[in-house]
Amino acid sequence: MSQHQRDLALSVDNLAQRANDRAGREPDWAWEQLCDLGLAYIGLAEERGGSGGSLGDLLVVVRGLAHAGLATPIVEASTAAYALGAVPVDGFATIAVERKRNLAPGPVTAEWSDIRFPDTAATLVVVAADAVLATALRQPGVTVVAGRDIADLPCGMVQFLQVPLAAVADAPPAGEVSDRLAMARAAALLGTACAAYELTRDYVLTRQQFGAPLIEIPAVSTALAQMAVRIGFTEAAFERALALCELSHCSSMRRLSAVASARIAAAELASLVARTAHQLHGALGFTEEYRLHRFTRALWAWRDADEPERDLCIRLGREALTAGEAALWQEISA
Amino acid sequence: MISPERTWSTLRDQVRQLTDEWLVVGRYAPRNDCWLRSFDLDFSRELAARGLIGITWPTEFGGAGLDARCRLAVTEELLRAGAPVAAHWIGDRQIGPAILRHGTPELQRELLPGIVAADYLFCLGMSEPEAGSDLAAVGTRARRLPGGWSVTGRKIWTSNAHRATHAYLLARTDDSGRKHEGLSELILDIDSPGIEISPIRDMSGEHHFNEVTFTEVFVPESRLIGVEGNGWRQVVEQLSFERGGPERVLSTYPLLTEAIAWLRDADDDRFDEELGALVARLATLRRQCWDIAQAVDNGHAPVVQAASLKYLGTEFENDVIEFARRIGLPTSRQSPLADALLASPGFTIRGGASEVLLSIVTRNEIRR
Repeated sequence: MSQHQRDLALSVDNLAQRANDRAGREPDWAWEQLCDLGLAYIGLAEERGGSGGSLGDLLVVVRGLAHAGLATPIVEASTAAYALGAVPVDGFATIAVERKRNLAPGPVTAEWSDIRFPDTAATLVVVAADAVLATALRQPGVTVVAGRDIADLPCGMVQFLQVPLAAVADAPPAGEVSDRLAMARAAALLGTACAAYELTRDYVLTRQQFGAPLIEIPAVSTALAQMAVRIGFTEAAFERALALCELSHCSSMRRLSAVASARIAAAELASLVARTAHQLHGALGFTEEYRLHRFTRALWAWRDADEPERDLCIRLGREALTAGEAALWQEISA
Repeated sequence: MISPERTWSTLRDQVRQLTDEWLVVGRYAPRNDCWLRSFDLDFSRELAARGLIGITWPTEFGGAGLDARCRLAVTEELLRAGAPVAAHWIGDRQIGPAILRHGTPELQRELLPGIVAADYLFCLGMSEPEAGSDLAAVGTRARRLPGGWSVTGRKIWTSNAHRATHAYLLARTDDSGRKHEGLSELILDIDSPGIEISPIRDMSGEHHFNEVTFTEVFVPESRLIGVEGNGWRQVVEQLSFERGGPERVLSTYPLLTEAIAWLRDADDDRFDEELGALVARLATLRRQCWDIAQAVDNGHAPVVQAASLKYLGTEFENDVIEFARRIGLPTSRQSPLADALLASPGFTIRGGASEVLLSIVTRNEIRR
C-alpha cells in the first residue's frame, strides 16, 4: 500500500467513526460525505467529474468502507460512472451485468431482478457481453419494485416497457467494465470478511469456557487458522488481478481470467467466513444486537452479486477447455 | 540489460527444450509426484549441463547468480512436464541454500559445485521414529570428539538415501538444555563407515523411503553448517524453502493435464464449473508461490506464508485427483490416476503435516 493509499484508508476509518454516531438517523449521510470528500469517484479522471487516482486507490476506499460495515452505493456508482465516462449530474448510477439476453440499443421490454439501489439511482447501466448500455430510471415505461436483499440493502426489480436503452458513447470495452465491477465487489467482500474474521479472532481469544479462552479448543484454533489462510489466499488473488487491471497493455483474456479467479476466491472466502465466524461465536453471534450479522449478511448478499460464483467458474472452465492446457499454463505462469 | 521477463521466458524455453527432446524419443514418461518418485541421474546431469541446477547461487560455485523467481520459472516448468528431477531436487532446493546462508566458505567450495553438477545427491536426515512432526525432539546424538563429532542414532522416512552421495543431518550436539537448544546441522558422506540404510516400501510398492542408522559415524568439524547449537533456528529457515515452492501445488499437474485433454476429446461440458473452480485456485496458488519467491529475493524467510501455501496447495493436489476420478479417468493399477492416488497421502504429511502448518498459522494470528 502506498502512503497515499494509507491516507485514504485513514480517511475512510475517520468517516466510518462519524457515520456510526449518526447510525439510523441519517442513512444517506455516509454517501453524501464520500461524494463531498471526493472519495466516491476515485479512478475516474477529474475532467470527467471524478477525483483522478487509480483503481487500486478506489478499491482501498471500497474495502475500508466494507470493513467498517458502512453500506453505500460506491461499488455500483463508481463502476457505473467509469462505464458512462462521467458522474451523473442528477445523482448516481447503478449497474447490472447481463449475460443471458442479447440486448441491443433501442426500445427494450424486459425485467431485471436484483438491481441494487433501484429506487435511489438515477441511471441504470447494463453491461452485456459486447455492449455498454444505459438509460434513466425515472422515465415513462420504467417500473421499480423496491426490495431488500439478505443484508437489508436496497435491491429490487426493474421492469422496462419499451424503454429506450442507449449505447454509451465512447464507453470502455464491456469486459473492462464488468471486470471493474467484479474487482470492486471483491474488495467489498474482502473488507467485510476481514472484519468478520477480526471480530471472531478477538472473541475466541477473550471468551472463556472450560476455564480457558476458546482458542485453546483445538477445533476452534483450526477453524480460525483456516479463515486466516483463506484470507491470505484471497488477497493474493486480488493483488494479482489488480496489478493486471492496472496494466494498460494486458491482454483482455489474461485480465478477465485473473479477475474471475479473484472474484471466485472472494465468493468462496465469503462462504467460509460467514459460516465459521458464526460457528465460533456461538449464539451471541447471531443476535441482532451483536455486530457480526452486519458483516455475515453482507457476505451472503454480495458473494453472488453481479455475476454468481457458479457462472464465473463455468466461464473459466469453458475457457480452459476451449483454449487447452498450454494456453492455461501461459496464463498461470505469466 | 536483459529484462526479468526475458530471462524467465528464456529459462522456460530451456526447460521445455530439454523435456520435449526427451519426450520425443521416449527417454522419460511424465509422472505425478515426479520430484520424489521419478529419479533419473542422466536427466539431472543433463539439466546440470544446461546450467539449470543451483541457478540462484553465486557464479563462483557454478551457479548463475539469478533470483528465486527465476528458479520458480525452472521448477514449475519441470513439474508441469512431470520430469524425472528427484535425484537433484533436495540439494538444489534446500541444502545448497542452507550452505550458502550458514556454511563456511570452505564448505560452500566443497559442496556447491558438486550439487550444481548433479554429482552430489542429498537425502534429508530429519525425522526419527519418535520425532516426526515434533522435529525438535530429535535424539540422534553427535558427541564431540577432537576434530569433529561421533554420530549415533536413527533417521526414518529418508527418501532416496539409498541413491544419495550425501546426507543432511539434524542432530543433538548438546542435551543439557531445552529441546530446541542444542541442535546442529551436519553434512555426512553417505558411504561413511557406520551408516546403514534399509528400505521401507510405501503402499505403491515403490522404494524411496529408508531407515538410516548411524553407529559412531565420524563427522569432521568442517561439515558443520553454521553455528553448533543453532540448528533449530537454521532448520526453520530451511523449512520455508522446503514448504513454499511449486512442488506443493503441482505434484498432480500432469493428471490435470490429462483431465483437460480427456474432457476436450470427449467434448464434455458437464464439468466446466468444477474445472473453473480448480483453475481459479491453481492460478492463485501459483501467485502465492511467486510472492514467496519474491519475499526470498528480498532477503526474508517467509515461514508463515510458506506454511499457508503448503496447506492450501497440497489440498489442491488432492482435489485434482478427485476431479480426475469424477470425470471418469481410468483407475487401473498402472493408470496415472492410481499412481497419483497412491502417492497422495504423502502430500499433506511430508515436509510439515497440514495440522501442524495450521498451528503455525494460529500462533502467528494470536501474536498479531
